[in-house]
Amino acid sequence: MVTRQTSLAEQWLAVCRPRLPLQNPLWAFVHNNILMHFEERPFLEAVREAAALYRARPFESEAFYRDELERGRIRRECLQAVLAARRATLGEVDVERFLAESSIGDALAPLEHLRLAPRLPRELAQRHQRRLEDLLVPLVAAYLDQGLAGWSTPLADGSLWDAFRESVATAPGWSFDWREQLVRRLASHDNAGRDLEALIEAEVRECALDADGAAYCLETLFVLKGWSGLVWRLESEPELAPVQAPAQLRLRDWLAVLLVTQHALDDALLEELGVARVRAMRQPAPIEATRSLARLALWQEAYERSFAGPFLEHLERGPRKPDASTPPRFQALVCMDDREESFRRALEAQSGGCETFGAVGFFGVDMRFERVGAALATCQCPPIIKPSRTLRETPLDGQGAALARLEQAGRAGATASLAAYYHSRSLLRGVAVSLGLGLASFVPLVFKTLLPGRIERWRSFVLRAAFPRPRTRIALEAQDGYSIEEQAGIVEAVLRTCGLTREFAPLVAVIAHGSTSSNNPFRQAYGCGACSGNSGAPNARAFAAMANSSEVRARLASRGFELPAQVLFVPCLHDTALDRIEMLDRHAWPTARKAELEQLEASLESAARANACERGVRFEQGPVYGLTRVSEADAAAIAQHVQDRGHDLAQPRPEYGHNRVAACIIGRRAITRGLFLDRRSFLVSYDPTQDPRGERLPAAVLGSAPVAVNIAMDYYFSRVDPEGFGAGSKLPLNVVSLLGVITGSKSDLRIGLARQMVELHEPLRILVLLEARAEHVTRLVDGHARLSRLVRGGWMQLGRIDPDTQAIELWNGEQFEPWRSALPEFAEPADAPSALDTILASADDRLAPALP
Amino acid sequence: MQEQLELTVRDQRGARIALVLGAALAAVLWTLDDPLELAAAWLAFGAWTVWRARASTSPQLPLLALVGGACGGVVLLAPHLPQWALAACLAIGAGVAPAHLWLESLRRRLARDEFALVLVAQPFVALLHGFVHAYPGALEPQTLEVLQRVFVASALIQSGLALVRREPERVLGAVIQSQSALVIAGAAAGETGWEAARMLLVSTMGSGLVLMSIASELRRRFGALDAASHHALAKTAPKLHRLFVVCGWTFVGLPGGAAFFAEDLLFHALVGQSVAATVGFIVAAGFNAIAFYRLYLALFTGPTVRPAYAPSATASWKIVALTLAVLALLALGLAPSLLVQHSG
Amino acid sequence: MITLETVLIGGLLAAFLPCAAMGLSLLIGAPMSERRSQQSAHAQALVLFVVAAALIVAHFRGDGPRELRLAPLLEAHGYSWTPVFLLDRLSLAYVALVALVHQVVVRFSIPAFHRESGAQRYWFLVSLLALSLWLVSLAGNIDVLFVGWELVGVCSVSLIAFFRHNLRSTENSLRALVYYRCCDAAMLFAAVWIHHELPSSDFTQFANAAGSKAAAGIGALLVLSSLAKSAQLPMSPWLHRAMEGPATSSAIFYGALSVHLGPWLLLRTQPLWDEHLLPRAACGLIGLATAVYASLVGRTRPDAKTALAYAAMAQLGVIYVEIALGLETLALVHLWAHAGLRTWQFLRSSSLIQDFQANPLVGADVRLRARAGLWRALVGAQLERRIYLAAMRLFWLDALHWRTVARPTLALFGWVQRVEERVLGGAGRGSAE
Repeated sequence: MVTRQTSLAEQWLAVCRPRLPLQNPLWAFVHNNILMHFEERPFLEAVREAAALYRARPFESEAFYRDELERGRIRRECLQAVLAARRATLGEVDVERFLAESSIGDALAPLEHLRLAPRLPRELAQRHQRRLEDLLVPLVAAYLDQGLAGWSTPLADGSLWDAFRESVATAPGWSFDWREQLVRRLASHDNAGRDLEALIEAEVRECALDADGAAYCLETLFVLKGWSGLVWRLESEPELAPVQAPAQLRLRDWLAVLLVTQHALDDALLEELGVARVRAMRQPAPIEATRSLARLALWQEAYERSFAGPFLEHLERGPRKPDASTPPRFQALVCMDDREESFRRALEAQSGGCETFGAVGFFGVDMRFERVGAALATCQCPPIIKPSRTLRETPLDGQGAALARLEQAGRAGATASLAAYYHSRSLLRGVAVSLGLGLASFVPLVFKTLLPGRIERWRSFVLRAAFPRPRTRIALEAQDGYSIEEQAGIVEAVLRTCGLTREFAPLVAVIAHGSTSSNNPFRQAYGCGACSGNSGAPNARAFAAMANSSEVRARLASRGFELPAQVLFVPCLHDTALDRIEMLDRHAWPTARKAELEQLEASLESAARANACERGVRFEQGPVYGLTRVSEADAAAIAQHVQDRGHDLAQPRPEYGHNRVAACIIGRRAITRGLFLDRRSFLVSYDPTQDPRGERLPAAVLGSAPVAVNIAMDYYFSRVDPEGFGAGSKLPLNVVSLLGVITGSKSDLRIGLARQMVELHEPLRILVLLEARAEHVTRLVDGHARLSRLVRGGWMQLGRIDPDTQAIELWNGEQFEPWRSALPEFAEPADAPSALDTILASADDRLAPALP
Repeated sequence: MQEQLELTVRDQRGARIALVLGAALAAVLWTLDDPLELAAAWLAFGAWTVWRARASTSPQLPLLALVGGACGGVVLLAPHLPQWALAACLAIGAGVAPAHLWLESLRRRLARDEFALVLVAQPFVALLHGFVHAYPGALEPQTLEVLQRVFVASALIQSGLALVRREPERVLGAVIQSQSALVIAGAAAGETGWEAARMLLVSTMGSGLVLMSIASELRRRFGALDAASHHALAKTAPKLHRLFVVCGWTFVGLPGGAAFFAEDLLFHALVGQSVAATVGFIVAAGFNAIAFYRLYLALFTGPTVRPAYAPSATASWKIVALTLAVLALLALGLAPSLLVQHSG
Repeated sequence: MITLETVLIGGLLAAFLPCAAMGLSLLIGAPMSERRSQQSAHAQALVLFVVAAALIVAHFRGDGPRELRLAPLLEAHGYSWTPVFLLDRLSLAYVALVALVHQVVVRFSIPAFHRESGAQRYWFLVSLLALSLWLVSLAGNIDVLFVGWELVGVCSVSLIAFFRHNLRSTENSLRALVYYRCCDAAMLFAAVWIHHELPSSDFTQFANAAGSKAAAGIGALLVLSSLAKSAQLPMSPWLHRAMEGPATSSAIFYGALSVHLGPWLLLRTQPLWDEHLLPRAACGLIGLATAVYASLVGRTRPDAKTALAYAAMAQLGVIYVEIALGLETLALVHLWAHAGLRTWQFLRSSSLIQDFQANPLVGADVRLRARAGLWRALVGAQLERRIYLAAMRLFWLDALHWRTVARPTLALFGWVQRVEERVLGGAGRGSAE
């Protein structure tokens, strides 16, 4: 037999693969635009296709938009403007008519299913899905299991297809109702002597009728979309598996399994119904989620304009405070993250003055990092970058013994906890564990529930006292570490891009961020997006070490970049959930400057507390919910409350993450300084005045804007359809295979974010504003394929702030035009800033509608 | 067109008057003691059903129902028939399986509300109780035992049928019929069992009325529903949903409703007479709960579907009335002794 | 003078009132605010905690077991339904467990159920659960116990179906109800039989009635009626289906309070059937079989919650064996400790990814997917594979029940219905069938 170069099945798979959800194991979870692979097409087309595949609504519901119009969050004039802009296709339509006739703008017909199952009567269609899950979910979950089950599957040595065959073969005849049809189908393939590819082709030929094979396979894979995505992800990048991905894992096998089981199940139900497949396939099967998309897109546009208008007006009016005349007491280099927007405001309000800069939170240090006491290295750079090297944390001189002790203790603790985990689930050892540990487990049970924050503080205090953490550094210079040249390059690139090149304050805080939460499978979604969801602490430490190194400074000076000797870079970590500041590498503090540094610490802590108060008004169960003024006593209460939230096992909302983020401003801080942006914007520092030829613009934009789009789209889709694109409510979620979560006991692997994580979010495509010259922006957009797709496909709204005149312009699809003419409904400047209430006031938070 | 419309309006008014008349007749049935008067009332009620059965569908006489009703009436007038004939007439009159077929044939002819009235008013129990009350020694213990077996079989069959029926009203109807077999077993067991049976009767009548009203209200608003697929009405009809679930649980004997104590009391009364009968009834009660819960899940839960119809609201007086009825049933469940005469 | 009676009655009232208030407000369609229903549930939990503490203190300071008898709720013709409560070591041990775990779960649920639709339903059901568990554990006779027993079942079923839009959870709740009903029927019959055969239905009198000829039968029935709640064979397959509900309800029901009712019932009624072989053998054999079955199945489960459910089932089997062997104190301690362990594990079942991520042994150094070496050595690779595959599919117990019991039953009545239709001709007027 001659093996074909690429079989038909392989061609179909090649089409399917890039369309699957980008389903990382939750260990490596980072924000991705869930439709990243659809980005090459314009937004509306892409979401329509995705809606069909995911069976999920890509816009909010008509009812939602109507409510938003009712309460003024969508402005009538914006809706009117959107309708007016479509005059050519819609004719003369005013808002009243648009509201009265729900067919207006409904230009796109719903798409059709290709499979048989959706054509069955409702009851049977539901049974179809459930039976498929009953058979396949336990199998694939066990096959991929990373060690959650005590008895690791003996099947993982072979292929998924073999595991499936074996599992069917060992099941007795009465084990499930449609086994007969399944066995018959498998036998017919065996008799015909088909290999897997031929089997896939035969199955598709038989059952897809005249549908396109690739599209049919894709729809089949989407029947269990989460699992399909995970299978492909682990096949393509096995190193993502926390422990070990099965060596023979292939999407092809999974496709074959899905096709065969699905068609056998079809057969069984058709027999029950007494209808032939060909006849049943004639039944129309429109996909509900693709109904009225074109109309909803109009609503969405009006919704986005209703944000953009007031926001730009707010920005334009802004306080535009002149830079402080006295040089700042210290400067801070902070992550661009929208959560740091309020923190920066609080920091700048500190007495003595502070200047802040926003950078991409990995500070140019693209490494994998091996922390002391951790088995796996973490990726400390944005997911789109491959880490260039692996660095490890090493003890300082004389700390080796302490480190060894700590590691030993860590290993002992880890062994004990693994033993407790596995043994408590077994039979006889389980008796011993439950008798031995059972009564003891009431202690954490009670205290962790009653005093989550305090108990954690005491615990870590005791642990620190018993096993003091040794002083360590990051071995930058180690073999295949960063050379001095490279270090200088990193420091220069970061500082120059954000414009921190002169008027240095004596102290520059390098503030990374991370987030503490417990009992949270989605932890990686709260960390620093620029560090692949991990804490940015190692990057801050590495960057500060580089920038403080005299060799690096000498190298910089030779390149014409003077870093004065008294400037000290201080690495810090901001915990965005607990709102606590940790000063890193204290041992490196020069004794002479201790007082100064302690002052810095106090300032940072007080800013963090102010930040907690600002966040606190959105925590409905917190002590200051909805308050506009927060007293000192309240501040203490909210500080305790946010501490508790992070450590509370019961808390599904340790923090609100990127909720409500809707903009990304890349430019000087002067544009936004003193302006209340309500944590709605990413802020990236870029100084166009120091970059007359726009050479640093790509570095500033390409590191940040795509990340911003990813985060915004991730939140967007999980918010508009929490069941289809998101993970649903957190309450019934169940960790499976140590890789992901399912709902209850046997569902599809859940994708996206949970409802509690996105409930305050306003689903908007992000508005990216660049402070740069038009020709530089155009050159950048044209020159970068992904950015060009995002901008031209309508995945984000691009705008520009002129570096000289500060005029704001928006991209209208072809060029930039002044924003008031791009959004004619805002042609007249508003009289009062009251317009902002609807987009910036916490009292108007739009909560997720309750589930049915 | 206009004429037709008037006709339907007149029809509706006629049907309503007929329903009220039927209810009045049923009420009369429950107030009489004297066997002759009772027989007259029974026959009057039977005449009403025949009239309605003919009026609504076919002009043919509902033969099965006539026979069934007649058998019931006979016992009141001729208490000295041989034991087997008495037992047969009682069983047929009470509609125990397979004599439930005459009720079933009646169901096919009567309008839904009218058949619900027949079920809820429990005229058979009135008949039986009247008979036992009037002629205390007429049935010999052996006959009673045989009768009891028949009732058990009937209760089991009805409960089982409730598991496979698809139409909400029929599921509820089967559960009610199964419960009434229990009631009848009590009523036929003389005054002792009657204490328990009366409690169960009140509960069955009250809950049956509430549940049947909700089912018919759902039909009015959402069209034909079936118990095989899920309709997810909990969100669309939240008030009916709450009443249905509370009333249903108490109806099938959950603690908190009158039926719980009634069934408990009844089982204790029965176990002395027949262990097998008690087991049968306990199983039937178990089936009833499953049947109710299955119906509840089908009607009110499931993934939300976009309603293709425009659901009209339920009149608030109906909700208030049903709520009061459910509250009363719950109150009886907390203070069951209200329904029992302390006979010292 | 505060007597034990007043404390107990006060406690039960305190358990009843918030529950009734929440239930009524739901029923009449005037739902409470989220804060109010949380406060009610929380207040109930606190009061119950205090009352439990008071009862325990009173017990230790007083002189041993106390039986409290209230006025009969219902009296007719020689039958009376009397609320009788028994305060002894056993009941107070369970009451203490209930008070503690309920308190913790309520505290845990306050943030967890914040803004969850249907939260008041949850609060109502949890407070009803507390009330019913108090009834079960303090019951002095089988009648009071039965009331609580049934209510626990209904709460459990309603919470499995908490996510009403999820078909799997509603269908699984129906399955759970079926198993519960089977065993509740057994208990109802046991209760009826006790009334009929024994001089008294009070637990205090059970020891005196142990010689009665019905004792063995009643004991066997009681063992049977305890099986569903504790998911012992053959009533096991519902437990993994119950994992559709929220994690908090999984913790309180299937980690702690509801699943341990089975052994607790056996401990309570043990004086009656202790000397008889039938119930003891049944109890021991069922426990043994379940322990082996559940631990095999549980080890193959790749998801956190069902793995825990089977682990709990296995330990319950062991507790059954302990009871059969007459090790009451060990069984009671095991029950208590196990409940604590599983509650803790269920409540933090979402932490697993974090835990393994933070564990320095996971990944490079230790392969978690190590084989079960002992097993393979014992049975050989081929058999191990077969056992694994069977255990992964729960030994098809579910299908077995469906094929042998449920489907024939439904088919029988389907046949009756078809016969009916044939006799009468068609399904009749306006019928959808």
